Amino acid sequence: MSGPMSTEPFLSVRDLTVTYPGGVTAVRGVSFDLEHGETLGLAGESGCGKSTVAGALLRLLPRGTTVTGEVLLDGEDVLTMRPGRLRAVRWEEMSIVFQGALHTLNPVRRISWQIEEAVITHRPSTPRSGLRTRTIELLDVVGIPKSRVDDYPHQLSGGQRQRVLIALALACDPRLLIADEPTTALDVMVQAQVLRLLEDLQRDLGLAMLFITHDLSTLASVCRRLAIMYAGRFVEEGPAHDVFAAPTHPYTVALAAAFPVIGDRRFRMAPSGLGGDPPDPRELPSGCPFHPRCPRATEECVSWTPELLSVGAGRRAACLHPGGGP
Amino acid sequence: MSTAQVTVSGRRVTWQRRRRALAAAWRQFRHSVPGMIGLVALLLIVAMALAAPLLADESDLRAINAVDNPRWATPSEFPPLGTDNFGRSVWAQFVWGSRISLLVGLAATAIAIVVGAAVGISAGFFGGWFSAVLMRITEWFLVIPFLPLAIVLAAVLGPSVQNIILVIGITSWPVTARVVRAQVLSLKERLYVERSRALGASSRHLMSRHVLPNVSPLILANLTLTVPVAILSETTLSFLGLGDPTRASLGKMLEEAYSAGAVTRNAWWYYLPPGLGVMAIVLAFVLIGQALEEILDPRLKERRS
Amino acid sequence: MSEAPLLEVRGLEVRFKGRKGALARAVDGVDLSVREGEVLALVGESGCGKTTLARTIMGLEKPTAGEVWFRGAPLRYDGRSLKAYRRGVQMVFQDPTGALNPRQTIYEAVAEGLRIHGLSAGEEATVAEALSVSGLRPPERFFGLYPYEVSGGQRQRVVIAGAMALDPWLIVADEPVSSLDASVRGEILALMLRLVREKGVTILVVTHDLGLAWNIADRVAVMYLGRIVELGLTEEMLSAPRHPYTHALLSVVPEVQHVEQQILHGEAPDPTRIPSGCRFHPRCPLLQSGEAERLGIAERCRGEDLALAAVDGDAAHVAACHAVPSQGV
Repeated sequence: MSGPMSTEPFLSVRDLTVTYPGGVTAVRGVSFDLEHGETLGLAGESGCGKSTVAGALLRLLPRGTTVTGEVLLDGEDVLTMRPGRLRAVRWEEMSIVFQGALHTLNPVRRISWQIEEAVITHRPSTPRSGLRTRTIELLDVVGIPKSRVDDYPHQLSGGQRQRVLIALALACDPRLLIADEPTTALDVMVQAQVLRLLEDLQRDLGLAMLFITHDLSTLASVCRRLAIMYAGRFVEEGPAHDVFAAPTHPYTVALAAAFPVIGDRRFRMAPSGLGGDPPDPRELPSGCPFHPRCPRATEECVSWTPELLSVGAGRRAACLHPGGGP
Repeated sequence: MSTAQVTVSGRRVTWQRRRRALAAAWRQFRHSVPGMIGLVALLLIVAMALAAPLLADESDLRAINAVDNPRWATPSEFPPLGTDNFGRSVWAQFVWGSRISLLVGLAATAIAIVVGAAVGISAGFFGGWFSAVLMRITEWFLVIPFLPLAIVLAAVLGPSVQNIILVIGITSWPVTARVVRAQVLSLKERLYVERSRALGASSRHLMSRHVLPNVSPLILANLTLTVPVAILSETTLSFLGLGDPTRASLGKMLEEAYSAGAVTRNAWWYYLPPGLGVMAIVLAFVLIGQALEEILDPRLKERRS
Repeated sequence: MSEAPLLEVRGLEVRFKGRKGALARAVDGVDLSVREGEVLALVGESGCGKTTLARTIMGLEKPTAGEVWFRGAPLRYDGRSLKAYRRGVQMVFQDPTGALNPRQTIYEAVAEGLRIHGLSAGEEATVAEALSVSGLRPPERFFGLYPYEVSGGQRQRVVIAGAMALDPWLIVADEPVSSLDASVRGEILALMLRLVREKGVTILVVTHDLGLAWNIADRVAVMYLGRIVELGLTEEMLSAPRHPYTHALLSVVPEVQHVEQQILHGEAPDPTRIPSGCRFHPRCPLLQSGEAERLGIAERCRGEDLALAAVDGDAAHVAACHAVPSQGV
């Protein structure tokens, strides 16, 4: 569907604002671009609005939610699409992998049935025989052997179920994959396996990927670019490795330090955290919403709301006192 | 740390929170129209039953004292509710009958709830063969049809108010036992029960501090739904002639009205008051029960709206 | 070591009857000692038996074989002994939300241990002290709150305060930060470290997170399929792991750079079917790469079970691997 040689980015989110029916504004003006085949990591604490961004992209939010701004997919606004077009775009253009695979899969259906259903729903013309081949192929891509395709979800381990969800998301050859905490509930070793799989898929299939997690360290290895969210806004963005290695926003500094580098003596017997609690979205602090927890906060921070400004090559941060950095 | 002089008393603060929570629940109940209708109706009925000696003379219930009264008098001839085939005041029977019906319903429910909760909690909490035995007994009571068992028991024990209470009590606890046991089974897997155990708590502590407070809303909701069943059972048994022959109850009034031929004589003032009385009591409890359930289990409200 | 350990686990085995009657050997012969004043991290994947081991140490699970010794005496399982034991040993849970009764105020939750043990004299002062030691200040502000009215990190502090109220010797913490947000994590770990330094508490922390061990632990024990496969001082062991399983675990931690990732295939193995020989051999990279063959130990890996042995003659660092040259302790 993409226009040949269009100059606009594949996905362009402009000033996205989401307000839930209860009146809580979870996302307050988020903008970013995503090129074909690019990975963007979105990190932040629970309640910062990162999952709401994912829900808004696919319009999977509860009824009565107000979404403003633009989500342009190849120049077409997802937020104003008609239901028919939206259904086609979901799954065929962009699909999502959630955390908690046990609740997302239907427990009384074989996994092959569930994948076939996804394919048929979006491509009714697929012939019966082709369907089976396609299912086996999809499961093979995510590393589920042919002998297991007719298993029920409970017969699979947690890691395998997460793989099935990834296969489901890939069923209609999407160009954008949104992964919302895909490895959070998994064990370290299995988490490494799934991350490796996502990396391979992203590279081999040329997928664009939006990777959402609270664990900054996983993003640094998987994503090219990184955005840190706090209280519904981006507070820092830039190349993943630079942001992780030399954060400039004090919140990113705290988030990066929360996961110690093993072998680094600075972290030895010195766990570092961030005092205070995430802000209540109903009563955000004045000025910079991070100021009550911020070690660098000054009086200006209480009244002045910082915008994202350049802090180096390809990097931006929303802080009056950015530090460190390149 | 200067924690020696604590300014706020922890116990008192905790009690304040409890009272406030109770007040909030009451506020919520007050806004439930069906609940308030039920509560007002119940209060009126209870007031009437308690005030029975003031409203009608108990001696009026005896036929020997009614020989001078007209028989089958209509309410206009013998206010307020006319007389029966012996000339007895229907009003007196109704007032004193409600008293017995309520007493039987509440007392039988008390037995059912106490036995049911005790069996449910201990079967759920301890498990093993102890639980298996208790639950087999419960099921045994559950599958036996109520009427034949009640008839046999009433016949063996002899007809008296105490025995009716006993019969209804021991036939209606199994439902409560099962519901409570299911809840306890899920409660005892909660992490806070494990935490309390790790703190050194005995089974008694766990049951009284963690299990009982968390099943009590369920027991309360169950209570309001057991009372109407017990009252209906009393009515049924009395109607079948298994009630206490010396004490008037709403069920017994119905039975006597029926056997005296009140229906064929179209003496509505004799059979309508007890019928409507039973209905009012049952409805009041059901309305209160549903309102309580919604307050205690907020998920219900969402499902209904 | 001359000083007697605070807690000692000897030949501990815990078996469960699993589904279909299969016997799961959740803990399969563990010897472990915890010294007074240290932080010992017990690390492993889910299903390795670490949580069962922690619960057995708490006396919440009865061992099939073996003993738990605390301050020089074996733990007995009658009600009175258990109760006395649980005054000295406390537990902190992974999920603080589930660990607090929603119908109890924070005051009651912290006072619960005191009431169980009949220590109601000065109850309010003790509760206030425990709350403020756990970082909830001023304590009076938290007395009347219910758990749902405070944040997840604060709930974990309440659980810790409930443990500290009894002034315990040992705290067993089961994944104390894994359900908490990244920024809160460090705060709770710092609190635990402070309790060790200032209050002289000993901590056994069960986790899947080697980073946590680097943050707070003096020693690390790595557990695999019901056994400890390597144990040593944190700095030594995490900079030069000797067991291939420890090595693999370390390599997949995203924060460790300059180490080639060694992703083990398959899921965490099944305690109802423990392999013969070295229990790690079906997933062992040494065997798969042919390295074991070259060392001439492949046969022993597949057929010969082995116990922990000192690495390079250092009694403080032990491992159970045929490829590690061992000298008798």
